[in-house]
Amino acid sequence: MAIEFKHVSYTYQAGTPFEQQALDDISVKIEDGSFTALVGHTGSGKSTFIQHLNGLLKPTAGEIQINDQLITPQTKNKELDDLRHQVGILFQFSENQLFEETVLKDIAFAPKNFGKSESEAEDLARAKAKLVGIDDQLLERSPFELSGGQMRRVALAGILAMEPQILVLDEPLIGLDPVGKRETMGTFKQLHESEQMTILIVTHNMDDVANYADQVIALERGKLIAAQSKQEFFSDPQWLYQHHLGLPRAAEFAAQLMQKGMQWDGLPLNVDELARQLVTKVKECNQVGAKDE
Amino acid sequence: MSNIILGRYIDGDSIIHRMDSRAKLILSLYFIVIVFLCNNWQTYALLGIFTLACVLLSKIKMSFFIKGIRPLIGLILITVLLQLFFTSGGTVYWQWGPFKLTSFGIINSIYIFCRIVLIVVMSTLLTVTTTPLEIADGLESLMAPLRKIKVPVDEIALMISIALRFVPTLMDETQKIINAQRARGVNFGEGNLFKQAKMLIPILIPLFVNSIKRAEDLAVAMEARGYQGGPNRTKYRQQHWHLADTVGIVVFLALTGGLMLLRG
Repeated sequence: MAIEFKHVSYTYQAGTPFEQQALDDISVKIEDGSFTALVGHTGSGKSTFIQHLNGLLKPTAGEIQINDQLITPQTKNKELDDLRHQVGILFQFSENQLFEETVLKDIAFAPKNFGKSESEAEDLARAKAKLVGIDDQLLERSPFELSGGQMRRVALAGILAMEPQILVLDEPLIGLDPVGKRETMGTFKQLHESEQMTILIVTHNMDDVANYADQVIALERGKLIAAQSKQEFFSDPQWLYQHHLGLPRAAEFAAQLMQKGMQWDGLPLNVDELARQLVTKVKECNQVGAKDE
Repeated sequence: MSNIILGRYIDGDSIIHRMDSRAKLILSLYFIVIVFLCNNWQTYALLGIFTLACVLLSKIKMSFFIKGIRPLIGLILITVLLQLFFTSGGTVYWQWGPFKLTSFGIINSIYIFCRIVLIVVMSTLLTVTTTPLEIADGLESLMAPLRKIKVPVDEIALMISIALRFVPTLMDETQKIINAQRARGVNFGEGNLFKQAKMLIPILIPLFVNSIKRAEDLAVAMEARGYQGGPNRTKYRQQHWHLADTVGIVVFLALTGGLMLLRG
């Protein structure tokens, strides 16, 4: 039970003057229960990659195994219904997918499509709305009266109401305020930890990668350039700069200190780790200083 | 979504690409007029060869034009069938109630078919070799005399260029919304007609909401930068009438002469 890409390639509009290869021979495995970050530049193929995860796109070559479902270029759309149910994708600017008269109805839309009864779907919707922090009094309002951040939460609740095993998030934090960002990431972390949900998040923010993910997949111009643990991924700043990927802020700071001669016990990836190592260093210095006197 | 070819620009550097958009617009319209001069196989052959030459000059793959015709095949078939079964005259081969198959009908339907294909290919040639903005500029410039009779030419041109500019954006967005709703379990293209019509709601509502929002943003952005229409507005892209454009007009006139001679 995992996601496995085997030599997957995808070409947009094959056979026309607009032909464009978006994925090029990608082989990668995403383990069950992992929290994976997908990074890469605009146009590196991230969005194409995630659309393969529930069969919105089918590979033009190669095959994908997701749980029990094998997707090949010949797979029929009908066979993918069940997969759509298992893999929830929250697209970029997901507030644009809202359309129902009330928030509650919008959240209940997906479970109803997947065969839940009206009342079951509404119960699910209420529970998921609570989970993402939508006030009960908002449930009967029109989604178009809400603020952008609240609409984003409604969209997230709408995906969670499908009760997917795998949650795919395409830059879910763009345009949210700092509090909204922290709360939303907190929700993802909670889903990952308490419900063992497999999460794949597309992001440009290396701090989020360092703070939340355990695996990193990096794409560049449709090719896979890295698929490893976060520690390995951030271990070579030089390589990251070469591929224009950058470091988390804490690691960036640590790397600059390293250039001035500071030694680290493994590059700290987040502020907590940075603080811990600094405190140890200061203590060591104090001890050395005390002996000298 | 992606097979709509009519109305898409393909970058290139052929003599047709470089022609002035005004010349191309006039000639495309003029072509539709002279197609109706054809009334025998010689004239259709001449026009066919001419169109083929234009396509070759544009250096755009032939398969592309064939694909452009494909979405219109239903329309063409209906027209051809109507012509085939409802034309009287000549030898009658078969008759059943109001339907009849006559020699005139067969010839007429072949001609109609050629006529539509020629017009579609020529119009496609205009849109694949001219950017939407060039077309809008060309229209504005051609409509300029109408200002005298108080036609809001600048506003019309602005509306056309904004509309053309946002066609790809809207298509992109439609695809995104379709994807988002498919991910939420909507199966497009399934069920009866009523069900399918209902499936349009989750696409159309977000699309309209976004379009209105975008229009407001655009209006604010234009006003913030002091946009003002009117004849005094200068242009970033200047249009230039070249020798090739004059030659184009001459060729079309010669073609008209040829058609007149060959006409039966």
